[in-house]
Amino acid sequence: MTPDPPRTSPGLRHSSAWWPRTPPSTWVRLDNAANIFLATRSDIDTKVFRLAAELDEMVDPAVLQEALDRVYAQYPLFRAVLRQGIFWYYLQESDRHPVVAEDVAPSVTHLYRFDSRDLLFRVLHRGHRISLEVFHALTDGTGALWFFQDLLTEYLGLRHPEEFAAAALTGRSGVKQEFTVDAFSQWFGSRRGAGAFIEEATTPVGSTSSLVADNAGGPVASHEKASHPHTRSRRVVRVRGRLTPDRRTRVVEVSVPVRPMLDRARAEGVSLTIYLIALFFESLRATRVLRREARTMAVSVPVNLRQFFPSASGRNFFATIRLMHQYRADSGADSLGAVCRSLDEQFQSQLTQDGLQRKIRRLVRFERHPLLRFIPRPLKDAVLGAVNHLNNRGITVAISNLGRVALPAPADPHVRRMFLHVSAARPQLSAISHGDVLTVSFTSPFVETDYHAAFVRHLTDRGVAVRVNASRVTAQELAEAEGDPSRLETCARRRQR
Amino acid sequence: MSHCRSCGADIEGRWRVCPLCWVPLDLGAAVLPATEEAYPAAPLRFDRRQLWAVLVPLSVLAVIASFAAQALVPDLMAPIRTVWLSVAALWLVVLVAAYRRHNVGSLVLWLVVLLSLAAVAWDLVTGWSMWATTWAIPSICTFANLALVIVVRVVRMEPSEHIAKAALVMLFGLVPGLFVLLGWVTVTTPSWACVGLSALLLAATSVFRPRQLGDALHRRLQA
Repeated sequence: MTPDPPRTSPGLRHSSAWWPRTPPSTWVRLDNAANIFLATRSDIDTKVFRLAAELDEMVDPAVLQEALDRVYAQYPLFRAVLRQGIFWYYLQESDRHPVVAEDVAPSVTHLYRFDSRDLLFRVLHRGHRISLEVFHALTDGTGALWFFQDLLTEYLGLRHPEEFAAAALTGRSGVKQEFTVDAFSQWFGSRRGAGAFIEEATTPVGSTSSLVADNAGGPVASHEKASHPHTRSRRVVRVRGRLTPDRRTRVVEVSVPVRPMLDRARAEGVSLTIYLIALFFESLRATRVLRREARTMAVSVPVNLRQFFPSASGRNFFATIRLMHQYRADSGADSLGAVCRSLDEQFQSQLTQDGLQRKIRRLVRFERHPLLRFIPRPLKDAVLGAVNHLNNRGITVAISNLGRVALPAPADPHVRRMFLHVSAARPQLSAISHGDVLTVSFTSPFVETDYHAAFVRHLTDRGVAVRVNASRVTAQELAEAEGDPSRLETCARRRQR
Repeated sequence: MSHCRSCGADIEGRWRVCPLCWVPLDLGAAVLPATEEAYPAAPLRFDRRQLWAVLVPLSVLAVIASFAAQALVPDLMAPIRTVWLSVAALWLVVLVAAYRRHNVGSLVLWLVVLLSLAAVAWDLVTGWSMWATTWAIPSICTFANLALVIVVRVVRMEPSEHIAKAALVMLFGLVPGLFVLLGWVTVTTPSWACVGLSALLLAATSVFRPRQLGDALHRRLQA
């Protein structure tokens, strides 16, 4: 009998000779925030997020592959595959090698399968766009953004060597994201770390730093309790709709100029994130009938902890906070400005040293509780899933704002727009800005686009130029893309009636 | 780029109606961009409503027919409980195929083998009335094959992913023919129905998908 030839899965190939082979036994327990993603991922909410960049030229797959090979070598964390232990999941270093692929599937489709050992990210290209999709258990928005920025810079450097020759870019070699560094353990593994909180750190929202993301780009890692003393979760508005036929995520990208948006936020005296939340609430209120007993809207906001507890770890390191507003009939307290200020007050009061530390220590204590540790993983998953389900009842929408992103000088002008999509079980708004364009991507498991339209109308009524790009999710919409518009027009007429 | 008069936004891509307001767009020079859209128009993997449209009537019919049969002919407990088990198995296979989508052929094969063994064990423990060979195994195989047909028709799946295991399920469906020849059955109809359906599906696969079947078998059976 001849030995089996080496098998390769589609989209993967084994390492080449120049690649430094690591012992296959390198493994690390999943970080604190990541456990919840595995317990709560579902067919609707894949716990995958996407970073995309639109370039000023068509993407060359061969060059992109070369750029990926180089950047991948600097990010050992991204070599991880996810395995199941008896008590917890763990990340194991693999010798798999990523291969860029054409983007042919809907955004944020599943990445992790329990019976596979595939990498937890993929790099895709289509037309002018390069996309990075990441399973959230691997890293958060900030960690992924570091990788993506390096990938884009490397790609553009290879595409335009003449422009990059003059600019000596530093820090482009060497390992950047170690496999085993977990910031939660680093800061909260022992009693130390309490005094190192950076009081002067910029608040996550509205950060203008080129690198620091202002939150984790994450869906809700929500085992925290409701922070608002007066509102019980059963009263919170929950958005419902018709699920997409094959449960793909509906993505609606809204591109607007940054300046007028920042001006509007500043006019209300709040950051851009708070303004976007208030506008999101307002759009829902304008399109959905609020029941008398449920007039409170709540938003889950992930906060990047690296700006408070400095860490170079690329693994998940964020906490979520919950803000809410209770709508009353026809009072001035429901104006956009009033909602902005109310949300901002809550945000500032929750973003304190004590608040964040207490929250994270509680989570870490929960995870490391001697009794809970030895509960088998499937049971933990079930319990975490149930807790998450209950918590979700107290959340109307989620928001992620990765802030302003810039690339090194020679690369930056080649990027037109950047996008962030986050898989979602409920309406989610994900914002990111580059240059003078802010993109707000709405994701949801529903077909409906009513509150999106209200959001856009609010802006266009005030003279903001808006561009919209939507993904196709129903059979009729897909038929139109294939050149059969009659079905969609019929559908549109039906909707209008 | 076209413009929506209702929401005031410029709409990217080849939309003829606004994807937010669902009103016809101002198409400007009435020429849609020739370039592809930023999002791939990936075909639906499955359509939940289509899935229910097939599964629900089939299951309801099977259950109603089983009640009707019981009313018409007494002492039909063995076939009736088999029908219900089979309908449950059918749902299980189709739902798992639609929502998990991976290793479906493998799943169906395991389901058929394990359920068949369980039926035999059950029958042996309760005094071998040939319920397993007469009713259970033929029904399990029949419904597994039906489930495969539904899965392949309704859920988009790469044929090479499941075709080898599906062929094994179909081959397994010929086994009840042996039961008849060996005299292990009290009624021959379920076995013949199972053999007939399996043979039909095998023939159809080898006629319509000869290359994929050949490739898959070659890959799986190499020594």
